[in-house]
Amino acid sequence: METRDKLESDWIHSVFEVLREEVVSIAADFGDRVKGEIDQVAASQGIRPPSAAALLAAVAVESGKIATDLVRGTSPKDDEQASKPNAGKPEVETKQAHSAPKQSRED
Amino acid sequence: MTGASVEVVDDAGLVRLAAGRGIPGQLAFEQLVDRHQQWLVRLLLHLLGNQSDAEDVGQEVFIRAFLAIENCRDGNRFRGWLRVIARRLAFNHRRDAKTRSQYEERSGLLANKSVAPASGQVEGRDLLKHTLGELSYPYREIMVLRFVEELPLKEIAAVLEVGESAAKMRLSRARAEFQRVFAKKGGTRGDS
Repeated sequence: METRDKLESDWIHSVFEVLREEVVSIAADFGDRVKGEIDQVAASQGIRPPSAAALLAAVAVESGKIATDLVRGTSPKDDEQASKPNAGKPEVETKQAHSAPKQSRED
Repeated sequence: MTGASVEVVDDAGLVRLAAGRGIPGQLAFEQLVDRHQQWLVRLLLHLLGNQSDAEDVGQEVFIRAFLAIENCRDGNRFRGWLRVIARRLAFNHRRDAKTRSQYEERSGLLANKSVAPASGQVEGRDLLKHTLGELSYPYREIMVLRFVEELPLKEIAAVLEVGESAAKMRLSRARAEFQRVFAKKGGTRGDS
């Protein structure tokens, strides 16, 4: 069994001292980059549930949509169209939008 | 994700929390990143010889470790576990880079390839780095693990995923090769 003393009496060990003592300056944002990547990985792989803030934000957006629909008197069927850029335009254009493929709702 | 604090001081506790997943787990793992990033990048720098590569691979190491944290059975040995991942990814990175450079060389893309300084032109740290740079990768790797990381043979064998006798033989050959190149470059036993 090798001992620490044996290692330290090794001339190569003393040659390497310069590397052992070297302070490596890593990029200032290295840790933040790693954490950002981990955050993305965690969210995309479902490793952690969405944060409370993200859930509240999603609820607020949905509530806003519902309130808008109630004020306008549109049916729930029009939910998706209301969020599209051409929502609120004349009836003719809205009907054209309704003829769009139904898959878009599933997307 | 930052802000909240996790009141666990040792690696074992952080690993346990991280393996529990959720937001507390992520925060715990972020503490492990803070704690080990300097050491990890230094190890990779010595293995790969390039800061940018060391940081790229370092990032990948942390992500792999995060995804597989449940496999770290002994949290007190988190660093050793991370070292095994780092060694594997450094090896792959170097192999890929080598393949790329061979392709570029054949394509004539490396017109200004750097030339190692001749004997007697480098000293101290540079001499050591040039010597390491001339060793074959398995030799460089084992020299770094032994003389920079100061690992005992048993642990080196575990990191390299080979038997102890194979590690011992490789170390012996690496030493001899190091000594030969070091002397060729003008290094003496007094150079440190």
